[in-house]
Amino acid sequence: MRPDLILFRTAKGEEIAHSHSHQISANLRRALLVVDGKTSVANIASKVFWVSDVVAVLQELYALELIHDDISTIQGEVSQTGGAGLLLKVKLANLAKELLGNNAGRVIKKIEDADGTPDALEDALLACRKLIKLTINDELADIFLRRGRVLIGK
Amino acid sequence: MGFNLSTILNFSAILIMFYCLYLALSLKSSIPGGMVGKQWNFLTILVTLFTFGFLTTPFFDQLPEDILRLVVSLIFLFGAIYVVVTVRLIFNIIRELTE
Repeated sequence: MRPDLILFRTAKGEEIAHSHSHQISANLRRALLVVDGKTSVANIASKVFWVSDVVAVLQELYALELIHDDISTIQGEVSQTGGAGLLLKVKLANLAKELLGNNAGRVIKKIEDADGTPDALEDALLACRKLIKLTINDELADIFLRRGRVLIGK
Repeated sequence: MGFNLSTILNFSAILIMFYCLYLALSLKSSIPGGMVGKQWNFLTILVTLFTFGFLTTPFFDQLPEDILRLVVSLIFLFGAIYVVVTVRLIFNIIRELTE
């Protein structure tokens, strides 16, 4: 497993992470909970001391399809902050690129910094609208907000 | 003493204006448009005008009095316009952020 790989929980992984079932061992579950779609394998391995043999455990979770590194595999619900939230962020970032082109950088950063929940993303969208209106293009600001809300189901 | 002081003040003003021009041009690429971007272009033009105007201040003693009065009046006029544009810009930004 590459150290720079960013992993996220799949829909199945989200379900297990948020349930109290005993489908996986406690060690696997602890590792599953630290996968957040932001932290690299190397960072997890260096910081997460409470999971024994982290990299091997991550490989096991990967084999069980509870975590993944390919965002297109996510089919989860949008209310979760893990993989599905990351998918929404990617969609919003693509929307920003489509509408704003080379000027999308700061907008994308705001979206990336937000949590993956719809409420947090809506707040980020409102902040992005202000940023676009003030510094990029007045007209595109409202279009971005409207289309962004559709994407996050608001 | 009076001459030295005014020379120092003139050169200080020129240096500050060049710094202001540098800031205005540096920020330009970060503000391609929108409410601030539109006003920023105008402010940059005014700053450029002031920079060239300030560069003439060391030669003021060589200008005829009528021309000197006109130049000073123009500096006051454009200074007032600059202040209005800046205050309106800040007003609009605050209004937008507190909406």
